[in-house]
Amino acid sequence: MISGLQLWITPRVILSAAMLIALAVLPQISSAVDNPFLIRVGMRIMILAIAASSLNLILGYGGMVSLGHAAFIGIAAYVVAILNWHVSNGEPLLSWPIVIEGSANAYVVAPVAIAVSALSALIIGFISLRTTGLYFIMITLAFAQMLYYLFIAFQKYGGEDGTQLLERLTLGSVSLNDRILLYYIALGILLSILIFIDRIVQSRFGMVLQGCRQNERRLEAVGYPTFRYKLVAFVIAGAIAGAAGTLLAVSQQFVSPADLAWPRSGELVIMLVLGGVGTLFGPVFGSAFYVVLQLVLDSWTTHWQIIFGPVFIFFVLFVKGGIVGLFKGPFWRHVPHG
Amino acid sequence: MAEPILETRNLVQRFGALVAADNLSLSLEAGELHAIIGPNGAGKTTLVMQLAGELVPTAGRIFLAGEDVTNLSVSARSQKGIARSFQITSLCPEFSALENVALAVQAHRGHSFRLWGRARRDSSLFGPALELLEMVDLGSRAGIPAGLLAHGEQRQLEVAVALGCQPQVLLFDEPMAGMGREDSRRMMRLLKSLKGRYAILLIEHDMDAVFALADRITVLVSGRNIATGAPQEIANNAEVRAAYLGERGVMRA
Repeated sequence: MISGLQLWITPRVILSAAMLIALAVLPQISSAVDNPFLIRVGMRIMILAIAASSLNLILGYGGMVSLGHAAFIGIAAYVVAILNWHVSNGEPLLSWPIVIEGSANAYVVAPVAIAVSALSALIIGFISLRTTGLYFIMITLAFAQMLYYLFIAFQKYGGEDGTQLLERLTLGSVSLNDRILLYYIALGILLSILIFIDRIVQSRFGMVLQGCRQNERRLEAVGYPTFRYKLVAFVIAGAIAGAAGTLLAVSQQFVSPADLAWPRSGELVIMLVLGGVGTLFGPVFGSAFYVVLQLVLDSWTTHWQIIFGPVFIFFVLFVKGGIVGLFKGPFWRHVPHG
Repeated sequence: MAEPILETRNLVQRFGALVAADNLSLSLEAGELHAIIGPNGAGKTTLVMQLAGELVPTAGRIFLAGEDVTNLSVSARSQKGIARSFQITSLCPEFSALENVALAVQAHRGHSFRLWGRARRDSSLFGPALELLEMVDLGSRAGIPAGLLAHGEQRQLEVAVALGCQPQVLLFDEPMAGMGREDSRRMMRLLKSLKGRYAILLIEHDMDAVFALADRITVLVSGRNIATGAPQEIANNAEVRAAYLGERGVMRA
């Protein structure tokens, strides 16, 4: 047998550790070079990495290609924004039969936002998961677009223009105004979610989920009512996307329908393909690569997609396992390598 | 006689004008190996799909140990003890041979909504799974992804997966399909070793295997049961000879 250490220390592990360390020291680098913009970039990478990780759970491991995943980000972001709006406007969210006030306390806002996203995932998943393949892609897309137009119709909360979070959020008595504090909260959430997903994927439930991707008919035949397993995974993914949406609203202090429009859902799929579908760290690398490349290209030309498009095509054609796939090793891929 | 473990009563399956099961009644006794033979298009695979729950019969009922299971889903029937192999190999190609069996074991032991704890370290799943793999001669191939196994090995693995389902009834849909002589012989031995321990419904084209293994044989033609009986009776049945076997002298039972 190869020693445990050799099995562990692979190029992939080194690369992912380097990625996490880079994210951890980014605020220090940012203040050293006196460029606060770097923190914003890191924040955006982490939020999108959380969102892409949640999509990875259902798409990468479960084989459910959703093109409406941004809906769950946007729903949570809007919950945060709407609760915030009612605080700053001094108007209760609901005055009958019971009075519900708005809130800007993250201890209240975040669980509510995540719960609403998870509940939406339960409803949307319950209907969508009766279909597979192309129909599933289309129905998830349709649901996301419905919600997009729903929020556009909400004139009270800014309609198409979106809404600003005027009331500063707090975490209990601590203000979340502090960008560095918020940054490390996001990093902590990203790490917890990566560990959580890793455990799910390797659990009994994860075996069933990955089996569904490989051969759903076989899983039914050995006795799994696959719909239930897929629905649970879909709801978990919705909840995690809700966490990403909460962070998004808090960090950018602004929410608009664009946050749940289908281009955002498409971006998440692109990130997975770039980083490595069905690998634990693929979404993190995918989101970092996407955000940085977009920034670099955008500084050259406003038509950055003209260059980004060919890069993506190159990845699809020649780098099939994504960035993570370039560094083969026994650690990341949970399915047997072959 | 004791109650049959699996029984169909007057099954009918229509696909438009085509009748794939025509008032089909048959029974599988406990511990019996019951072979279904018939020319192509006789409705053998239709029967397996009806029994497994993938097809809802147009009319008729299916009973498992006296319980009506006609309206149960595929997974619910598996939970009740109907296990099957597929005519065309159907496994999880990325999972190892061992994981494929463990997944079947897991479906029938404890529950699978456990989100924590590493399944691959769960000896209550992988212990029995390895035993089953050894039983089908795949013990040394446990770590190989199912998709990379040879065709014959995949067929053996199908059997191990079915056994992992704690079956009351095994439905084997042409387990020797596409096999060479060597693999067929191994599969024969395997089926022989299972005979008597499980109630087995075997669909097979290989007449040597059928006549060597079966306790009873049912002959299907155009979805109808034209004869059921011991191999010797079937071999001597005039209607069977006329309708299906012709006068090619293949009956060596």
